[in-house]
Amino acid sequence: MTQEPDRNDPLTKPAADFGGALLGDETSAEAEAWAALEQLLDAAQTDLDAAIGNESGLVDQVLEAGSRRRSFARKRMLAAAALLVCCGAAWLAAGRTGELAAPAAARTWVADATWDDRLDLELAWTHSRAFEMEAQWRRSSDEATFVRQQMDALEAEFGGDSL
Amino acid sequence: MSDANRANDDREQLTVWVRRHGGAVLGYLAGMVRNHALAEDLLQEVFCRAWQARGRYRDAGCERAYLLRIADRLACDHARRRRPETRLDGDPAEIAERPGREGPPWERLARIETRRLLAAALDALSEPQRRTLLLRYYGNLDFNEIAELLGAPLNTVLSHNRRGLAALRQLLAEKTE
Repeated sequence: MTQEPDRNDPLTKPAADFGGALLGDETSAEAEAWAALEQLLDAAQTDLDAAIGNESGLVDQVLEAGSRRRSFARKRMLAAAALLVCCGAAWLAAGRTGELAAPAAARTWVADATWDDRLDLELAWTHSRAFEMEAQWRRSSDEATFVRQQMDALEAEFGGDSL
Repeated sequence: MSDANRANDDREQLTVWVRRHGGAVLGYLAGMVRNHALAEDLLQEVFCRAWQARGRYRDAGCERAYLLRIADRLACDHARRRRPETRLDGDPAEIAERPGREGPPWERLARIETRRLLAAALDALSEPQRRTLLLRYYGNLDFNEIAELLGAPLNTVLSHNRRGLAALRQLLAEKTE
C-alpha cells in the first residue's frame, strides 16, 4: 500500500478536529465505521497496486502522451500562424488590387469613349481625376494634408481663381 | 545541464511520483468512477496533466494532494458527462479482477466478497461524502485541506464526513444482521 502514515485516524485524532461535534458513543461508532471502510479499501488496494505493476510502463505512456500533445500544440500553432499570414496577405492583396484597378479602369473608360464635344472631354477628365484622387486618398496617411494639397493643386491650375 | 541529463532527471522524478502516489490516485479514481479500465485511463491523464503543469507546482512535499486535486477534477468532469448512467460495471464483484491473480479459490472468493462490500459501501455514499472519505483515506488530508480542495466550507465537509460514516455504519449493521 502506498499510503503515508495515517494522521487522520479518528481514534487518534483530537475531538477538536471534528469540529467538536463528535463526542462519546457517536465518535466511537464513527471510528468503527471508518475503520471498516479503511479495511475494505486496504484490501482493494492490493489489486490496484498490482494494476500499476511496473511503474516504468506508466511513465513511458505519460512521457509519450506529453510529447504527442506538445507536438500537436506546436502544429496547431503553426497552422494558426500560417492561416493568419494567408489572411493578411489576402487582405493586403485585395486592397492593393483596388488601388491599382481604379485608375486603370478610368484610363480604359476614357480611351474607349467616343467624344463628341468639349463637355464630354471635360467630363472624362473629371472622371479620371476623381479616380486618381480616390486612389491617392486610399494611400494617404494624413487626409487633411491630402485635401489641402489637392485644393492647392486645383487653385494653381485655375490660375488663382477661387474655387 | 545537458538535455539528456535533464530528460533522465525528469523521468526519474516522474517515476518517483508514480511509485509513491500511483496506487493511491488509482484507488481514488476507481472509487469515484467505479470502473477500473476508465480509472486506469484517467490515472494516465492525471499524471500527464500533473507533469505538464509541474512548472507551476510549488508546494514541495504535497505531491499527493496536488495529484488528488487533478484526479478529483477529472473524476467530477467524467461524472458530469456520464450523469444519465448510474453505473458502468455490471457486477461489482468483477471490478478490478485482473488476469493472473486467480490464486486459490478461497482467496478469490474473499477478494470478490471484499469488492462486493466495498462497492456496496461506496454506493451507500453520496458523491460529496464519497469524495470526502476517499480524500481522507487516500490523501491523508485533514478536513481543512479537504475543504480547500473541494472548495467547500469546513462545516460542510465535516457534515459530509459525519453523514458518510453514519451511512456506512448503518450498512455494516445491516450486513452483520
